[in-house]
Amino acid sequence: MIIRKTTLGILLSISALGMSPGVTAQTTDAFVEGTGRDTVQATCTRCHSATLVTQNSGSEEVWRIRVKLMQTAHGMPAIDEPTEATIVKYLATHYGQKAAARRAALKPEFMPKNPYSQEPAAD
Amino acid sequence: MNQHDDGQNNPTHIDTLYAADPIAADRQLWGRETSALSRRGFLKKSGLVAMSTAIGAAIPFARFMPSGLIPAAFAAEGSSTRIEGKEGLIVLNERPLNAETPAHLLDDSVTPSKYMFVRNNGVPPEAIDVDNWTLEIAGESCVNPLSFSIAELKQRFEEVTLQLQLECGGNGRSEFVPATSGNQWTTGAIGCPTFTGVRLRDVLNYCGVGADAEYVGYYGADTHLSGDPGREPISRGVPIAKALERESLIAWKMNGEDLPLQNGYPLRLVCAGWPASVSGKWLKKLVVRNQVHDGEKMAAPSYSVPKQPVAPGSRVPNEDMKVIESMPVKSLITFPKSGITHDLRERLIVRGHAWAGDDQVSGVYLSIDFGATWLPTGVNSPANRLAWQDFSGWIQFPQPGYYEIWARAMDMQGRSQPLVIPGWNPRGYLNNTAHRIAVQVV
Repeated sequence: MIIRKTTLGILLSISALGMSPGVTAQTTDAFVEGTGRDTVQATCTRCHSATLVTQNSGSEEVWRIRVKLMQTAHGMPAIDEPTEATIVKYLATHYGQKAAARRAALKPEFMPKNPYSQEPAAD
Repeated sequence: MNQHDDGQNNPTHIDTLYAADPIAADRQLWGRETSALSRRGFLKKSGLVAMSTAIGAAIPFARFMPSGLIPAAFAAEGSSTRIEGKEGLIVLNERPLNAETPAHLLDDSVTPSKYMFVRNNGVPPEAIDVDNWTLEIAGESCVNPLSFSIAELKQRFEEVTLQLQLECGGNGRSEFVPATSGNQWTTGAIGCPTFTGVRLRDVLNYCGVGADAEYVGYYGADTHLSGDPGREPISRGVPIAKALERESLIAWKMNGEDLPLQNGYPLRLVCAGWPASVSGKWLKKLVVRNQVHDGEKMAAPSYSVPKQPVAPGSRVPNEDMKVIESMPVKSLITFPKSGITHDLRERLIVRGHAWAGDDQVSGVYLSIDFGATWLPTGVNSPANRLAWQDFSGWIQFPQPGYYEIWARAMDMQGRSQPLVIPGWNPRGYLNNTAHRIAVQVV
């Protein structure tokens, strides 16, 4: 059993701002390391969790549209151009567009034990 | 819970235990039992001591700790979200909460409440006073606007229990390329529990529906993520014809018990077969409109697809989009779980469910050769209109090797599921591609 000895304060850290009642989550640093990460963390998790961002992918243009949409339609305070550029660059670099496929292979967690050796999964 | 790949991580990891069965894990690790009354786990004395010893501190508020919850002190990064009343769901997003159900946990004919997916747009209400909860019926086309307590709804109208399938319009979004924005649902934003309540039409007719009525919109008690009290997180609805169907309900029970909080407690709308977002949760108000409802997330691009098919990646103007109505035909293999190794000598039972939006399923077919040949399965009648249908078949594999089992349902009009990803659309809705699982036969 992996047990982290931490203080009681963390143990009882229920309900981050706006968290649904009845839901308990440990707020973790879900964003990968990289230039602009702290800006993204600070800007993009005021209303929603980081996982809403990190489960998505897209080109720089697509991410720019999303970041603008947050400001125009979803109540995010406006940010200046350099901040937006930092955010968009970070997201497009680390959460870039998926490779095209009409239908991709099943994900590793859905695969049976392979009797043959196998190339590691691309992701 | 992000952890659903049991067996792939350290088998002694606490998360693995919780991933398999949080309630059992509670019991096994801490002797913590789930109280049906309080809906919270409480620690027997010995369990409390065990847990306190493990973290090296006392737990003064142990009685407030929800069951099926890994204390944050033990939790691995990003795998600690626990939802009261739910088990084994994969959390896509914590705020707003969005969690889907692994296919193999949807094996029951009637989806247990703990396995019903969660798609929230805002923050659910807190401190719900069910006795003083009111449902207001209003709108331009409501003849006599009225308010009802839940007790009045129960007293005044016929109580109805139906099994109804709810599927998120974005179920399957994760497979679209180019990727489309939103929660990246795989296959688990579907469920078919029973709902108990009153017919929406009985309530609307009691208040009087004007001849010019076009749409019924809802408002819930959930709040906008930004915290702005002036904004609705979501306010959608259905055309009057759908609202007046005998299966459209105002419900207070799921599977014979109070609705789970995340599924709309204490009152919700259920208009099955359409994107589940039309079935408003924490229901406070219904408006009978003389126009298409113009609430939050009614307008394109929300819950809308292009009027004409478009090439992948197209930027489609809102005026070229139309709102989604009935969901398309779809099926899900719920047994066996994908990834098993199977003995060549044994038949493999394959089963699951199929549904078809407003329509009914006429057949479900299985292929083990990537669609070259198809085997029919036995398909049950639905418990009632708009319930999913169980299917079951068996396979005798011809030789050892890697197989994918594909399931393909057909509706009563002969429409079937595509074997590749269906028409790309800007928001990634309506992916009803054939479900597939993988089996190694030895």
